[in-house]
Amino acid sequence: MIELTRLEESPLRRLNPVSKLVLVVSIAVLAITIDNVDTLKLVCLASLLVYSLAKPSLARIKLTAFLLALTVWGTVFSQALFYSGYPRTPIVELVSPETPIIGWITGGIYVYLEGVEYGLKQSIRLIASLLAGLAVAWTTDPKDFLIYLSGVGISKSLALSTMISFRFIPIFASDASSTLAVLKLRGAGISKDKPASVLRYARKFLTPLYAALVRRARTLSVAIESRGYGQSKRRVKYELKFTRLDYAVIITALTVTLLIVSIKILFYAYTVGAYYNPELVYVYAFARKYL
Amino acid sequence: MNSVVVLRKVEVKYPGEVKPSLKAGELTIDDGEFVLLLGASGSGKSTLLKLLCGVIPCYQKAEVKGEVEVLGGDPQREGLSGMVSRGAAIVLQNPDAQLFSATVESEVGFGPENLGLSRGEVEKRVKWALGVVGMTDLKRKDTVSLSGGQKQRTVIASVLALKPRLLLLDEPVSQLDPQGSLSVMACIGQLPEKAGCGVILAEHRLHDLYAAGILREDVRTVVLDDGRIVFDGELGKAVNKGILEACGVREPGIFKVTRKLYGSVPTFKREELIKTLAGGESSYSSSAQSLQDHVLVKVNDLWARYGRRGAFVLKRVSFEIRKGEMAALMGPNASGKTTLMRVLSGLLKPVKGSVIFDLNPRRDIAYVPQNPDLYLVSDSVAEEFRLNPRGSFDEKFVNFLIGELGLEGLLGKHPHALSRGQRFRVAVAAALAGKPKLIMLDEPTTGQDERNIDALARILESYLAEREACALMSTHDVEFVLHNCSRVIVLKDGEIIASGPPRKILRNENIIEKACLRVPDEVLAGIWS
Repeated sequence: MIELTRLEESPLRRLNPVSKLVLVVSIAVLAITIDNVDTLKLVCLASLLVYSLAKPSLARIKLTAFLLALTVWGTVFSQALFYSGYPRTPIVELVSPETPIIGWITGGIYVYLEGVEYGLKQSIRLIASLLAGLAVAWTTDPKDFLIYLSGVGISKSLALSTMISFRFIPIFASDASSTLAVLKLRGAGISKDKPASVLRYARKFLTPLYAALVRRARTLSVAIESRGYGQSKRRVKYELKFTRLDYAVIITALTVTLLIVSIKILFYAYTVGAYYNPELVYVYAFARKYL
Repeated sequence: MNSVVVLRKVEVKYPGEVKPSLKAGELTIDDGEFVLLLGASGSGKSTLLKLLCGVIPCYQKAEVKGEVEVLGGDPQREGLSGMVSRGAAIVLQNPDAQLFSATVESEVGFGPENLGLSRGEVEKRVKWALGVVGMTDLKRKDTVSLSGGQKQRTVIASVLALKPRLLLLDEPVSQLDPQGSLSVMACIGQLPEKAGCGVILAEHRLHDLYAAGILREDVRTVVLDDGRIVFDGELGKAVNKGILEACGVREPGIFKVTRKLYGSVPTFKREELIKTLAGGESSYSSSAQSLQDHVLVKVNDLWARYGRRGAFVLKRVSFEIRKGEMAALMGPNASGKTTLMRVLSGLLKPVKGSVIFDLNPRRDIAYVPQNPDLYLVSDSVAEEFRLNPRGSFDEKFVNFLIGELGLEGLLGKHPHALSRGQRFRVAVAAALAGKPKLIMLDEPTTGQDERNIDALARILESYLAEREACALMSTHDVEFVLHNCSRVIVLKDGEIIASGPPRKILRNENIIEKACLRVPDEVLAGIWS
């Protein structure tokens, strides 16, 4: 269990928390903004690079693989069955429309091709955010989040929330492993290798995790507040160390993200007829093809 | 002398509860005073502490009536932050959830940094606070790699570094090994004198307080029972009037024996009391468990670790557990007790060695982790009893467990809405409802009062005898082990350093020191046969 929560030495640990947070937020924003599957794969690859810079141990890689499998399975499964867009092509009939009651009510339950594709696209988005998020959580002293985020002018409560969320990612992973184990011992036919079995027991799996997290988060908030955090503006000022690498990461991440978001906004304005500029025709073409 | 706490006709009621959890009447505590807050599980101790420091209603909603004044302020209006600026501080039970920095030094320095003190002053306070809790040598250590006891001491040092006027401690040593607990308790006992700081200490482990010299006759003691203050006065009076016993507070065993023999406890001086009893008639006998020769679990040369490159957490571990046996795993924090139980549960694969079961490992093993939250997976207490590997539900047996463990009236409730003590009891009852042949419990007495500990011991003893099962529990509770277990296995750095009957092992000073244990007073007084 210690294995899952220890801060390991790694290239990513050398970046300061602000740079890492900018990196994670940029990846998440790009993952949400971009629709082109090939470009999304590139974002996912960038996230994988960030993840590998955290030098995760084998236990952490196994855990990541489990979380990814669960994410992909859950997203694809739900989208495949409940895809509501058109056109949609049924590829498998699960419940015929003639089946009494359930078939009559639902008009039949199908697996839709477009739903599977959409689910896969959503999975890539989630994977991109998850990989970078885990890497940052595993390589950052939570207290540094407070110091650095407060230091660059972010409100104390927001800095505290950020710190708590990152502080609990590794513990969540460790708790998830224990809960899974306890469920197995209690006779739940559940296995890491069979995501369907995890889905069947999803509610029983998530309830204790959620309860433990809420309780821990509350205890941590009390602990932090009872050490004087946020009660005055007199906090000792620490020199915030931004190396050249930090600046390079922040500037690159922000530039790429702002550029892509701007292009998407311009393209959106063009497609809905709100704004068109003939000089931007190459920008529109780029957005249509790659974003 | 100024009063730091003034309560008048206070009532606290949590949402959804019919009756108030606290109905405190009048209470006044002076500056620099040391107050012991005692009561059974669910008697309102934690509620009172949370009320005083503003955690209620800041973090926990509750309807509060009456007048509450702490350090001249109103916690209801000023909240936790306001109370901290007035000089109040609180330490909660779970150290893991209270730490957030990478190193001990950085954790302890966080409070003084928030006060805007100079770098020199921050360093001075860190050094002082770590000295008080005996962790000066560990200041550069990674907080994740600390043992449970060291973690709790770090948390205590972190609030001490703020130099509070009123320190509220909610079962601060509940997860420490006996020697760690003694060192922390000894510090806490001296805080009013050394740091000019008032202390309100809520704790179940009175045995450790007594061994640390905190339980003196004249210590001011407030006893809560069902939310009401039923006693406020000197501890000596509470003990001799039988108030602690009547309220379900777990007194040191030596007090009970003395009262039984002499009608009262003539002195609270530990050495004198032990001398008084020494050589007298034996008052206890060894556990009556009927052990059979039939081995249910045989562990051979077991080695285990986390990850492929990690250090071995278990080394050369070999032992057997027989039918009907209740065995205890003892040792310092991080000595491998929990890891051993994870291996036996099949949750961690050993690198080397074997575990041979004369039972079905898929069906006959139950394991309740130290954090009961991770065991409780259903939407109601009643549903918890239905999830077990046999898929069976023996209503008569479940009703017996519910009655014995005081869970009546909780069946319709959500398990996570209960107190920690109740959650753990629900988890134990649910585990037993599956009728396992091997039941493993991690720290089963933490946060439990005497009634619940007695009930747990009684149930386990009859269960093991009737079902021909065995139990293994990881615990720091030397008194529980002495009174209830037939064997103790002592681990240190992942290796077994001793194994045998508790009355023999727990008197061996060499083992006691190595394993950070404590010789129970009953053994010191020679009243154990």
